[in-house]
Amino acid sequence: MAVKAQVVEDWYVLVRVSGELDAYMAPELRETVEQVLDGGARWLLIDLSDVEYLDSVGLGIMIGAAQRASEREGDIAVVCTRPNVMRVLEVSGTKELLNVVGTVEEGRAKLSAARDKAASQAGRGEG
Amino acid sequence: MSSLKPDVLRFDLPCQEKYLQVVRLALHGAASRAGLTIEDIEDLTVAVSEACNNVLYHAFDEETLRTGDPRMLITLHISDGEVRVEVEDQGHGFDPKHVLAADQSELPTTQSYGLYLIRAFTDEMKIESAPGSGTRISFVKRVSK
Repeated sequence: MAVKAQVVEDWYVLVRVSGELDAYMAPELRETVEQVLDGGARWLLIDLSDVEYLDSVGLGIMIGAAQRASEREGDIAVVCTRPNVMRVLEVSGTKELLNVVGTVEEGRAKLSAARDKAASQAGRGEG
Repeated sequence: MSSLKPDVLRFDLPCQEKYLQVVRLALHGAASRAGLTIEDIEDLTVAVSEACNNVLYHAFDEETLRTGDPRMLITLHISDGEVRVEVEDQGHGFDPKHVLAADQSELPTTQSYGLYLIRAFTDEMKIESAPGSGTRISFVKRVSK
């Protein structure tokens, strides 16, 4: 499995994952996500397009990332294109929580809308 | 293959994450002999991995994992149109009533996703365990109609 993270447009982090996301490989994703969040990121886009297998361990890492991002008024989105991976997300009932979308562009748009909303609420709070 | 007498395959593996992929590969080949569809096999693969995760994370204490030789035993019963699976350990066991109570809530908690997925992806599931007596999780996947 490979995990690569990059800051995009100066405001969100794109984490691309490939291979089988099971208990053996998941620590690599956990470490990357923790580094990104510890570094202050609030907006995270996890791309699972090249992930061939997902189980509850990988799911747990993404749920934890969503919770941490939410605590700092950010959010995550997850890109998923493979039917078997999508089935795990659907059956586990986490599709909505993780903002699952079909493309990186959709994920970016989802995070951008959430970011605009957060900025608007913060503005109202200040006013 | 006779539909009356299943072929039985047994895997006795070290309790280590690196063998999960080996289990999935073996299962994939074996389950295809039962005539399961690709989707059935993918569901079963998740179920078996989750049962193994249960052994990896809940059966043994840290000391045993580090210094002992804890094992996970996986038995596949391959029949026409059906695969029956047992995943066993000789770990410290637990009271299944506690797990099943949590598992039957409508939305799983993070800790119970594994058992929730086994139940959702298979046709029957049973947990046999008691404190100090190890655990056996059994489940069946039948070919989709």
